[in-house]
Amino acid sequence: MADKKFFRNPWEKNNPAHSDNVSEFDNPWQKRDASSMHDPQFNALTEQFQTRSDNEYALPPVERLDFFEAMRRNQRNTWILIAMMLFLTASFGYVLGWAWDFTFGGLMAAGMQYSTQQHVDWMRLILTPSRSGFMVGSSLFAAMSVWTLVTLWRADKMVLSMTDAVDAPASMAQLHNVVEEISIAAGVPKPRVVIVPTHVPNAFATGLRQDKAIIGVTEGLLQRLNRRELQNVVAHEMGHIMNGDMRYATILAVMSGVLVFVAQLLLNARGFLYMGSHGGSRNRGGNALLMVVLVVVFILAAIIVPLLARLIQMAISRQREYLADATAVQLTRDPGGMIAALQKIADLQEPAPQMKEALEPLFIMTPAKMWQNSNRAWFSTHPPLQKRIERLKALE
Amino acid sequence: MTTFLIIVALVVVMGVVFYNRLVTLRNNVRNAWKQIDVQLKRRYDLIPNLVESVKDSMEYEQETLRMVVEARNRAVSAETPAQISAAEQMLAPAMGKLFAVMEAYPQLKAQDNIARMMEELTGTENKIAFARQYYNDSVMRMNNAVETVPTNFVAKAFNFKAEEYFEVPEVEKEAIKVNLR
Repeated sequence: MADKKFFRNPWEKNNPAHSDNVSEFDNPWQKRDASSMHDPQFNALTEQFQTRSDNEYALPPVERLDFFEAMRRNQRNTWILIAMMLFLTASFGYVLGWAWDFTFGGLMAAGMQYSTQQHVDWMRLILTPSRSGFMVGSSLFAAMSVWTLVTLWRADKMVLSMTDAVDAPASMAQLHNVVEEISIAAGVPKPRVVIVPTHVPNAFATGLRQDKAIIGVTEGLLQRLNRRELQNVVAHEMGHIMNGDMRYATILAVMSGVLVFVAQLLLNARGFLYMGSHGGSRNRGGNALLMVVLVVVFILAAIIVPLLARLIQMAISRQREYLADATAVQLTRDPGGMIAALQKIADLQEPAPQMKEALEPLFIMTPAKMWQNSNRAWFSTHPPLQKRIERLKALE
Repeated sequence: MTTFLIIVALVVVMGVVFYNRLVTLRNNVRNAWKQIDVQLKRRYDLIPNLVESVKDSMEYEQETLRMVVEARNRAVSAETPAQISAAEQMLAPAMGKLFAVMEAYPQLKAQDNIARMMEELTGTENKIAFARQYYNDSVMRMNNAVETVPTNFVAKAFNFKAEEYFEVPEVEKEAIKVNLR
């Protein structure tokens, strides 16, 4: 019997010759257990479907992680994250406004009334409500909400134009069939399929709602991967759609950007603080100490907060990637194929310097940067390949 | 008195929420079951086309082709679940043999429409399998709701039952062997 068949035989039984050569593996029904030998003449229906996932197919095991519950939790977490980030932004706005009041609005002078020469009444100073603070805080809140909504609305077109994607023609039967199969397994309507004309294998998913989703694959991916691996890659992207990762990533990116912007403003605001310190004439001693401490706090906040926001953003993105991998396995019940696909894609990555970093979480593998070292692990949108494979192996 | 009323109101609201969830899950299960039939029908429609295309080239395999057609016709006309599973058990090995035999005909490999048809058949088989998988997943979610503690009170009250998984019955291996000889 020839090793590589021209026709992919869905009724063919487990052939041990295929078992160790994962990349030759086109038959969706030839699955993992190479130890069992079946007579091809005995293609009973039980064996045909049992090879896909043994007994897991007919009776799901009870101790499995409930992915459906995890997905519902993800969606809830998105809203919690939005609320937290909006609150953080509003607070930052308030601090900025307070700083303004402090230097120009005579807040410091008012607060100084409660201080003696040596002791500065911090609490009174900080807790005095600042009208500018509320104004700036609420306007930043409004601006960020509007910006988030607009970005979400335009995000689809951004990704498509950035990657020069074109709709996949109906003649590409295998690709369309694979996407349709996975959408049946997921119970969602079939997404729009686009093709990116590059030889680097990669795939992405975008779309803010499940019924307006888009899955994109590169031409390199179609050339290199066999049907089983393609199925797993599409399942990973479908996992992103089902978990609402596109929405999540966009919101994260926007809010992170606004936090950085506000931090920059704070850094610039310290110039005003210096001016204010020269202007106030009373209580020179306590005044100077106050100024120094305030400036230090502002600078620390302006530097640390954007860094923290970025770290959180990247950590969340990596968790979402793990979850998408797990969702893919839940859809195809085939971790081995997922591992093979990831390895193939990782081997063939090339630098893509024009890639916007905010959109990286949408892809299945990080487009390689010009310099790769382990220090970047904290700032990487995708988890390291080895870790992903380890977790997948644990699901086998 | 007020606390009692509040508690009663809460219980009623939770009851409504659980009932709606159970209804949604049960409808999912029924829909998933019908989806399997949709995919099965596709497969039965594709097989005659394949047989027509390869008939002229494979003159020595008429027996195999005849068996495939007969198995397919039986599957299409089957009514009771027992008949359906019997027909499936005849169809799968027949198709397997046909595929295996087609490898020996090089001129078939070169024909574009045959390749496309094989891809369609593979896709259809996959879709049937995934539809069955999705049905089982829906049944699992339904059974979880019916059997776990908060929702099972509502389930018992309104007579929601745990659904059956799609399982394939055991096969008489002797009978299959006789068919292929």
